[in-house]
Amino acid sequence: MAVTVTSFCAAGSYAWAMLPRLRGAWTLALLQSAANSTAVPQNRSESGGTHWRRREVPRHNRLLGIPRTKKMPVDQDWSNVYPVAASFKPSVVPLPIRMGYPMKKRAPPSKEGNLELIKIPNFLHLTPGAVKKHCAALKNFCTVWPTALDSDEKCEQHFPVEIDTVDYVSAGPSIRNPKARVVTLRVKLSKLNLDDHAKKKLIKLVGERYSKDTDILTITTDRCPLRRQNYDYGIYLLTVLYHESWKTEKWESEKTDADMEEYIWENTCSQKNVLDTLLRIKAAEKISDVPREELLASEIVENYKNSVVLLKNEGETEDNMSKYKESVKKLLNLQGFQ
Amino acid sequence: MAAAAWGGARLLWGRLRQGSGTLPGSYAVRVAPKQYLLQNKNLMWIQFSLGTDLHTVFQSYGNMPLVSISDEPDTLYRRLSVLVKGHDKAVLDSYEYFAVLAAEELGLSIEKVYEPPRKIERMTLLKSVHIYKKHRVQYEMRTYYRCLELKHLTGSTANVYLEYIQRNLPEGVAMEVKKTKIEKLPEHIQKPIWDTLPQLFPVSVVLDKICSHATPVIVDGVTSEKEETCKGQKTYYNHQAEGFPPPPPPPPPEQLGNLASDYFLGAYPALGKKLHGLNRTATALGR
Repeated sequence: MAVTVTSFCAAGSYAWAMLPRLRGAWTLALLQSAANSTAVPQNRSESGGTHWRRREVPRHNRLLGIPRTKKMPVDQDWSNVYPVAASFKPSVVPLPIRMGYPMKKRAPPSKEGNLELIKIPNFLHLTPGAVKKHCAALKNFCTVWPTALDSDEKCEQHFPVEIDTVDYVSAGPSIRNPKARVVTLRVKLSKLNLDDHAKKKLIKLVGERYSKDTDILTITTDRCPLRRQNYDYGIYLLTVLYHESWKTEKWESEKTDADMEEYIWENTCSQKNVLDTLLRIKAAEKISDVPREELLASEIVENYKNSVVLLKNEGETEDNMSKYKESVKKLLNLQGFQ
Repeated sequence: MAAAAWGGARLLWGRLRQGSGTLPGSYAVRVAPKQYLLQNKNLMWIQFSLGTDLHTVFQSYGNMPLVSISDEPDTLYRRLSVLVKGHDKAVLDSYEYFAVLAAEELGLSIEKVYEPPRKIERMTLLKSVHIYKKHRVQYEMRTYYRCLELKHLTGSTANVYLEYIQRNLPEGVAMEVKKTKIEKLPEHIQKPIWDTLPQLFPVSVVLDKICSHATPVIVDGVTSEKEETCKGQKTYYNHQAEGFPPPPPPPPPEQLGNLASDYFLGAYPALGKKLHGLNRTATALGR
């Protein structure tokens, strides 16, 4: 075998030189085993010489050999044909695809030498069979999600802090994206160990970052150049806020009514007025002095207090106004009125 | 050796021609180790056609373990949102099919797959290099989107899936991955530390004493002239490529007593300065 190989190569024909991919010893295997090939026929005369007869195939003809599409068995494994991402090869893809704008009275151009088919990204290497094979191999590297955390509520209960990070993948002169260093930390205040004063102080410290509807504190950090640094800084901010809100400074006692977040009825003029009114009513009815605590604790005053607190905190709605009306009627003994 | 490889390669070629798609594993390992194929250009063509079969065979070559299990706990992602952007809708359709199939094969739970509306950027430019203001040409750039949301993934699974998806990202398609990690509350937020500090010293003094031992670092990168620093010198942000500056050595234990969390104050020495900006009592104590 080796002897004939060298003799072929020594023939030194121009055609062979033009086809670098076909050069080498294995071309012999290709030619010899392709029994029904239309390639160059055996050019050896009976005398045993290797003289080339008249060329039966034109020069520069790259279409030597049968295209692979004709040699494909029907039950082959397609991932052997396209194992990785590769451009469209018309001699390898056995589909009669046509692509491009047709000239007058012609079909769209066929796949041979069709640049449009080569330009577009193809998914020939990602057929369902190939994807299943890849995933079967990748399955060993995956871990299972803990079954105890099957709902969002349980996740929140055991893992209250949520960290949001974004990764960017794109082609360009650089693979880095400056937006990738942003870290967003979210936590529900109900999960933190805060008392009433601490919670109010924290909300005041944090300002716009707290959302009342969802009770979520959102801290977004992007001041450090690296994502891990931004994450550390976010945790640090949360720690500082938490510990600061538990402290009570001396100047906090100077908190005025305008600073209060919600309306507290005790020690307001509303309470004073109500007591005043009730006392006067009692005096008019000539009842002896009823202690203030009893008056305060009575149901009528409780009702009135609740309705006023609702009005001040939630604003004026139909419900709140009607409750206020009822409580005032009870207070002033005006049940008969509409 | 060359002759043996050559003979083996010819046999392989013969088998392929007969149409058997699969090769016996031992055969490939014995005959054609990978470095051999690359050196011997004659056999390059055969290597290409063998494709995935040869790769799966090489995984067992040498019995090297590929999966290693470590002790550190896996990160948990409540949601993974993969947004792909491209100029060609057909490519995104195919990619979505591939990504969804891969997720199903790996057993991931897909929350939803939807198509955000496309964005078209149009521009009207002058057609000619010089004058001819009335003749213009209009271009547009269309960006199509596709979003795939997965839920409840562990860190390892997410890394595997994302690497697989990203390696097979087609040309001209960009991706943004938004990860929502869930974590426990850090230990130093469980309870306020103010109760556990020793009652002998006021809090401010203790913290300033700690400050004097700590490396002066201001995290916000701005030197504030107003605040008196511990050592009376300017402090600068410490850039380190590996992450946050390492915590300074903890202060001697007799000064702290039962301080709840050395990590907390040790890692964040700037806390002392942030909490007590202008602290006259410290200077009065004659530091």
